[in-house]
Amino acid sequence: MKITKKAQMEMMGLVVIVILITLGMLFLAQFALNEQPQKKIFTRKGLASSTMASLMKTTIEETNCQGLQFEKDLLEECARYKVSGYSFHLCNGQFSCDFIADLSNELLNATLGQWNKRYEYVSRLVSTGDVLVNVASADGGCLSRKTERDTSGSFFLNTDFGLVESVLYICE
Amino acid sequence: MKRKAQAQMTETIAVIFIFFILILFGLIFYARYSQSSFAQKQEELLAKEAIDSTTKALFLPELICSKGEAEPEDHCLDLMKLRTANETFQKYLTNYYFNIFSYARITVQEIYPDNRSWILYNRPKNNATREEPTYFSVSLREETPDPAYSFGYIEVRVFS
Repeated sequence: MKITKKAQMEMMGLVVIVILITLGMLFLAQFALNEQPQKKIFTRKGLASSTMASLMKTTIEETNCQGLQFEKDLLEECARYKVSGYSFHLCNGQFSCDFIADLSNELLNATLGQWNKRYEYVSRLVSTGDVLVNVASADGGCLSRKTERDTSGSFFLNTDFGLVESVLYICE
Repeated sequence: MKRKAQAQMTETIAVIFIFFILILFGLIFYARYSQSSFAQKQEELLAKEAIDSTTKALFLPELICSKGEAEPEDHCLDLMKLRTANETFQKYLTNYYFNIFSYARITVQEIYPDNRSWILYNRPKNNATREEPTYFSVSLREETPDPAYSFGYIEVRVFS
């Protein structure tokens, strides 16, 4: 009887130790898996939408395309080229899709790239899913990564050649 | 019998000793966590201040693209306003803008097609220990003759 009681006491001691260790582990896990600061999320979301809105509005200054707008004119031109193989403008000697890709890469790299943000900008024809432009940061884009990312939301442009959807992704 | 009691006493003392060691570890861990969480809290507050200042700067009527009574354009600064903004900011720095932006520096940088920059507000803190920059891309609208939009960004750097 006495031995059984002692064994019970030791069992209780072990249970207490296990409970204490579990609590400690939970406490540590809580700090280790601390959620991302709000600032990062807000900045990524805000940056994505403001960058995309500014990019789409940009007025082109290059030869043969002076005064054209990035989204309204050049993206429509790019959709036309993809669908019909015909293009009205050659900006700096480039077809609109190539020109858009180069210019957006230059501008995104000068902003998001400099602020150590990874990005990926995609424009596609909604009806066929054909990709018109796909530009990603030098150290890899966001779509193939399983990291936290935010988008600018979809920017739609209605053209004679179908609806064009443009999205900018920003990730860490 | 006496020996057994001594052994039990030693065992109890050992258990109590280990227990106190564990408590000591817990206290050290908690103290370190408190220190780092305090520093983190300060950083979060500074980051929040940076976001607030950026939002205020982006929606300042002195800078935002507007057209009569129409809704102002988001993420857009008017170049005509921007050119004269520094003068206005300087003039009312202490009695108006300092209450809005506190210790900060606000810069607008054009990237395309030209490479111009404007320092709108500059009030750094002398003995600042931390600074937090926040960036937002913006369009810069030139009104004449047809509206043309440049691509740039606004940098708001707050000091604490």
